[in-house]
Amino acid sequence: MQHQPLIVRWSMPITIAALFIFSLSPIGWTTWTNWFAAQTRVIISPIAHPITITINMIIPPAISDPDASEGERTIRAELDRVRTQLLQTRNENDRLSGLIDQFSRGADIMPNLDVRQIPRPRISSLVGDFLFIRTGQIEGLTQGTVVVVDAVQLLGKVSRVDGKTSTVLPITAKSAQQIQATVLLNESGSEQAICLLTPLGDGTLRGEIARSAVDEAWQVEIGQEVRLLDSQWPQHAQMLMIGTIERIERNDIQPLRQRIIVRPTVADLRMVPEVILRLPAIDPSQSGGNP
Amino acid sequence: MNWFVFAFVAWIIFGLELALIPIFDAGSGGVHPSMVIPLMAFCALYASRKQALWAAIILGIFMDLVSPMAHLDGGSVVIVGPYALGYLLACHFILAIRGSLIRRNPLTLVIISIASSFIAQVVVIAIFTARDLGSNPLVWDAGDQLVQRSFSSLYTGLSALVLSILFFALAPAFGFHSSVPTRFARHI
Repeated sequence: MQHQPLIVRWSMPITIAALFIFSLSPIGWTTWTNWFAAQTRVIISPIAHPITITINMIIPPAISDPDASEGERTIRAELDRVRTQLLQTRNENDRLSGLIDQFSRGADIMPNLDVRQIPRPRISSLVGDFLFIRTGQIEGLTQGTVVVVDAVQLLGKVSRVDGKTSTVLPITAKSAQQIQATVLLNESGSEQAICLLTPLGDGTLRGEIARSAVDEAWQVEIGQEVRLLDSQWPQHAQMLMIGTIERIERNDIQPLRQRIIVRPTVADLRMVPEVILRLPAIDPSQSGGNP
Repeated sequence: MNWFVFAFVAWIIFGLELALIPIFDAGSGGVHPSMVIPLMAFCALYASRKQALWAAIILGIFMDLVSPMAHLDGGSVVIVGPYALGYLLACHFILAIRGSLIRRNPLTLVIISIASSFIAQVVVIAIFTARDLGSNPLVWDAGDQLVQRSFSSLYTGLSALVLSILFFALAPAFGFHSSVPTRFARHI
């Protein structure tokens, strides 16, 4: 042992010192770890993906209505899509009305971007509720790309992307950001109430609705749909489904604010076998000059 | 220790770790058993001191690389070090007490997995909390994490119990030959 080269004898202390430095160094200095993290995910995916597929076969992901027949599910999915389109159109109408108003005052109008949807299987999960997807910058993904499941159920955003892989943070993850949403108080969606939803970490989100914002004729009820209406998210993601109201809690501290617990229509967003990535069909940087 | 067998088993264990997280999650967000800790504990029980420490560091670095932390801007970052140092300290703990342990009893692996997981998680929490003292842009709540990771450590006992059967069967392939007389099993 005494005759080992110096580098061998000091390899352990040097490694420990380096790990300490890396652990406490600022985020900006650790960007080089991205490449190693991407390679690690690529190495692990050939074993993690088959296990995930096997698990999905043994324990199929829960669906919203297990008793419904295949035909009923297809019709319901079509209905969801049409409703989402209707609400998006209505929301787009409101936005365009505002934009026309701005245009008349000389403001620019942003072009309405088409969306292309890319379905990709979930390879596995990562520690901390992240999902690991095998596609990346090669298909135009960027940080913030919207991810859905079942066409209209919002899953989350791409939180990190490299050449061929990406990680997605579901909206229900405890470390996910708050999102602004709207509760559809009636079937047509003409009556809505805004709320700010906070993920609880158990697959649900909690939000508070100010009573003053709600018309007395309409009440917040269990089962009502909650949809995205947040300016922090892309325009094409507005009115995507966040979930339905699972329960309404009494707020003793602020009795005028009803507290709602929202659960996505997919029981566990971390266990979906496939996700759909929604990308703008046109590169915004190339279409900047178009009206 | 046969490093090729270690690398192959570690690859499968990481695959299981990542694929089974949503299944074994207790539904409370973040509470799930670790598959990697029992492997680290198993190596620490049988391998030579230096090999066990290096194995812990390697497993810890890979754990760091597959454990992104949420950023306040909605992105995520990978920080190398917290798990590696946590596993190293946990391994050191096992090396310090392994002389007095009944190594071939599966319950030994269960108990030391729970204890070493708790030690490793405390180190991880300490490092991220120390980062949080400065201008930390990560989403981090030390109290919340302590509760989650403590329960995860207890939950790790379950995975250690199942994996102990596999690991003890693979001990000769790893190149582990204990010279300690055992009460519960004969040497292969």
